[in-house]
Amino acid sequence: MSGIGGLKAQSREYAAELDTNYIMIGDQINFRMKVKAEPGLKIVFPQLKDTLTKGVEIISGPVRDSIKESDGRMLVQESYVITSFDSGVFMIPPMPIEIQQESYNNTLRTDPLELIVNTFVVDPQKGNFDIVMPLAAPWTFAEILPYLLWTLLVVVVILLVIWIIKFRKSRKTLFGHEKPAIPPYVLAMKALEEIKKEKLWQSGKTKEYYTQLTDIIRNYLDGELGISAMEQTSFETLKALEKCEQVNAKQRDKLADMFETADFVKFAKAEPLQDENVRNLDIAYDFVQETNDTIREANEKERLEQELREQQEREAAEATKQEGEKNHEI
Amino acid sequence: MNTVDIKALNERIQQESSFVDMINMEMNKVIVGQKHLVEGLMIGMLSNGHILLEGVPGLAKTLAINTLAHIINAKFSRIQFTPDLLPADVVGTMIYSQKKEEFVVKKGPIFANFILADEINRAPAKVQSALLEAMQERQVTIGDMTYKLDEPFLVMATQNPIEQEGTYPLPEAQVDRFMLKVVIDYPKKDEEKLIVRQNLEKTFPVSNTILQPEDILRAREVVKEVYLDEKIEKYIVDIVFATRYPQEHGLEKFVSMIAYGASPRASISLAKAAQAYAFIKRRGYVIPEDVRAVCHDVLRHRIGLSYEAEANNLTSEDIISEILNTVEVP
Repeated sequence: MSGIGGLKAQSREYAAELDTNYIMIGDQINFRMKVKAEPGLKIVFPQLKDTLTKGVEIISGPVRDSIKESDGRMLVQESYVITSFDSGVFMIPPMPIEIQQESYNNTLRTDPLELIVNTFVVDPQKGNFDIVMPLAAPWTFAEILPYLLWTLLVVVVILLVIWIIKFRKSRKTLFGHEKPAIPPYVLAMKALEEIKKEKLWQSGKTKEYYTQLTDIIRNYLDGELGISAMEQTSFETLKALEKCEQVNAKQRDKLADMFETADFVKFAKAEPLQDENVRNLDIAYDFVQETNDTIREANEKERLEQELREQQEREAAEATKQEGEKNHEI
Repeated sequence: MNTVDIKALNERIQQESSFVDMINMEMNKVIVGQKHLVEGLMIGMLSNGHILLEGVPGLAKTLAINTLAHIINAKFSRIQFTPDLLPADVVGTMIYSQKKEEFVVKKGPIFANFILADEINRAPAKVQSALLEAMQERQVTIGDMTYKLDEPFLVMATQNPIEQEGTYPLPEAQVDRFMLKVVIDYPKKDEEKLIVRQNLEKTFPVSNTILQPEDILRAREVVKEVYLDEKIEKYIVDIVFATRYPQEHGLEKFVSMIAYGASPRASISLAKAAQAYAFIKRRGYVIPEDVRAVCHDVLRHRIGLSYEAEANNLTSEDIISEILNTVEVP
């Protein structure tokens, strides 16, 4: 630290000073000009802009301050933040401070100041170094808290979405009793009854009759056998049925006949004979009934087999238990 | 079954389409495999559309169109598109005849029945534009005179999918003018073995001329009569609309993937191509299978993919397949 002692003139003290005379290149220090004088005087400091002297730059300032001293005089000071980006010795010239009174003006000049700017010693043997990053400060709980809350919120939302999806898949109602799904067989039979009652082909609506007839079967295939028949052509549906165990070749052939006639009616303006219309409705009825019977039989068989397996397991467990007790008695 | 109109039409088409088998037979003599390419050429020829062909070099693209031209006794031109090609090189120009002491018209290679525009994306936009304008208008203006192009007029433009550097990709509006974009792949192992044997033995079969261009023009008129039911029209429109508003068909996942959907021209092309396909299959009416068979070729170049789709490796093929699996078949 180097302060330049001011001169005493008519009980006035003035000075210019630096925080320190030795800085490293780029360091920032304060440069102050101060005057201690009796109150009522107008003190005018020099107006410095961006440079204090060549090589010494002003970063900010001036900041003016005045304090009343215990001896009744006023200490008035102006300070600047300065720096230098050149190494070397810089002379800060005397600063003219004007003191204006009613009778006369007086200009005081501060002593010159010396500022030594040192640079870093570079060892070329060690090579280049990257810029040193700022040191990581440890995290505080207040900093972590917002992240913690957000994470918690996201987890809650994800869990809620999963729960809703599961709920929808289970086809349960949110409130009240569970609504039982109507079996595809019942839906198909009901729709076939309706189509029979509507007497579509009898009233000349053959195209509508076959459209509804095929749609009933396609929806039934979708619901009962998991074949997306509504998005498939007749050929694709029949191809998919070939892989279906519940449908035999005879049923498939009959259905193929019905689809063929339906395609002719729907896309080629065909007008089948009355017998054919009746026969195709019967084919639809038979197909739904027979496949449903097959599925029910298969389900029943599976249930019986399962029961038999469980009974056998129970008997085997019982036998093992009895044998164990017998051995224990012996 | 009482199918007066369609029955008569069917019989007529059975007769008129008999040449399809003959063309196929002659094509199969020369072209090994590439059934899809041959089918695409036939659809384009019968429905008055043009074809954009994508495939690596050496897949018999030139041979296929040349053979087809020979079979129907049509004039064939091949234009190799290069960066220095000028519109006049394609459509023709006026040259000064010293003998006649006047400007005479020199017609370009576009004056032929079948044009192979090889590597269309190698030529600058003005040349592409000249060709595409001729394709659309089916006439060319040289000097003050407008010349009608010979019918049948079919352009098969090729694009090489592997070398994209230094090319001028066709703008969307221009690509839309091609009725079909056919993508061809390498031949199968057996087919390639046959190709190798034929080349080693130098026993190249030659196709016979079995038709005249007028036969094709007559067949085109029959193709226009192929019955397209309103149910099929609705199916076509549903498919095209699903490319524009996927969310309305339960395909919300594609909303951000599709930049723009297929144009009304796509609906028209889909209908025409389905009619031609039904004709090739010797049927007097269109069924959903026909629409599905040509759907990929008609739509693949008409769906604009977003950056998101490209980032997810989603192709227009995937989108079309998903749409076909979602839109309800009549």
